[in-house]
Amino acid sequence: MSQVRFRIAHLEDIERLMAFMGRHWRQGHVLSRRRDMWAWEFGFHTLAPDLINVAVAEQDDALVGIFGWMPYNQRPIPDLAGSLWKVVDDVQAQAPMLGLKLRRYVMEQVPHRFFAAPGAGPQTRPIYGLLGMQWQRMQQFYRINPAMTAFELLQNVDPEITGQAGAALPQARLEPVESIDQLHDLPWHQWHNLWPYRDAAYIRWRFWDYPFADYDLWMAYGKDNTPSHLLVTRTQCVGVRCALRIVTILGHPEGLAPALVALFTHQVKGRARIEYMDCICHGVPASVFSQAGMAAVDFDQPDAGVVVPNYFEPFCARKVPVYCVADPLPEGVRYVQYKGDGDQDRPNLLEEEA
Amino acid sequence: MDGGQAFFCIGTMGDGMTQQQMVAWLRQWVAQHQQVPIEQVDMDADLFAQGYVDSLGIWRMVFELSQQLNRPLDMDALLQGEDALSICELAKRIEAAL
Repeated sequence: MSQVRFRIAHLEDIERLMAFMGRHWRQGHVLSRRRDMWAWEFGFHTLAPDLINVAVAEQDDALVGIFGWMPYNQRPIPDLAGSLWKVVDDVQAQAPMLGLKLRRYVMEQVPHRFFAAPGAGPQTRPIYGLLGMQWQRMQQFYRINPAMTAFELLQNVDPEITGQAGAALPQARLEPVESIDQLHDLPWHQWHNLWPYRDAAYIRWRFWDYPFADYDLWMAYGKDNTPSHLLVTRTQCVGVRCALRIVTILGHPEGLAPALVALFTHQVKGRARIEYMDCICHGVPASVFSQAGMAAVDFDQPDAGVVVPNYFEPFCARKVPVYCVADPLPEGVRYVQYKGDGDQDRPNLLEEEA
Repeated sequence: MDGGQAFFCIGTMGDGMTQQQMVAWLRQWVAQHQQVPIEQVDMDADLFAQGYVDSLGIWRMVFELSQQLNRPLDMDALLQGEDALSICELAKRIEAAL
């Protein structure tokens, strides 16, 4: 087997990367069709202006492996999410460690403090387990719109149990973010022990300016009228029925419940088209969601209980758990992960680039 | 290959599992995943060439063994070397790594 070399990809490698995705990942994959998506998704806080956040493995000038990453902030030593990890099957068969070596190359070449990502494939659990990393099944919490009596997205809904706030909560005020400058008002300094740490530049890149999907940003204000949390939502629809999906939250999980109730009250309850609100996450106590009237999807019994979909592109009417993986944590730090941080909310059905 | 040949690669393992037990465990794992009788699992054959594991299967097998041993195992160390990676060879390398 001839030597395999690793390097960080340049912008001009995108055409080859697109061909790689179509040939070795899945024909028609959005990253095999959209050059602009590569430039955006892997263009935040790069090592140099002409580089993208993808490492490639090459053998005899052929691309035989890729590993991508996404920084969570613009610090000199940021936290990282992984995105795309693939070695060509027949090359991997000859060199079972190649994928790991490519990953290790990235970990050595890209300064970072903490690696954590949603969306790790179940087949990678042994790999991360042997690397000493933590592996978690994320939870999905949901609350059904009580105004609905018939459902098209949800299945097995018991109309008697549509979820009610379980505790008397202080009221939170929720306001849409209308200017990105409003993020300066958030108490960022209070969130340094929540890893991965996401900064305002990340929020702007990942959600506010994101060109491939529409996100709504909401500021929650506590009882003293100071901002306490930032919630990011995306409305996903199939036909005329929709779900309000909380894709990420900034702020301490404790104290979050009133903001969730406010979001539900103003954006879901009584709306004619929205069947439910949900949030896929790890590290937020279930009690926070139950206080807000949200229940957990039971993944241990795939055919029982309410079926709350996750995949919308294409729509898949079944429970699908999402897994996340992370480095071990130092003492005093909490690992809090949401589905929308990383590549799990990437649109799949975009049209061809104009 | 019959079961009696398992004794060619006997050694002693620390931490509660002998090398013989480890070979037996690995053979059982392959037999279960290949859905063949354990007697048909050749412990001297190359795991990859024989089709007993693929590049992901080797991770799964070693991961489950590390859970059984309740010890971390370094795949880098286990997969280095020029010799064919048989069940016996893997057990030897694990012994050396522990």
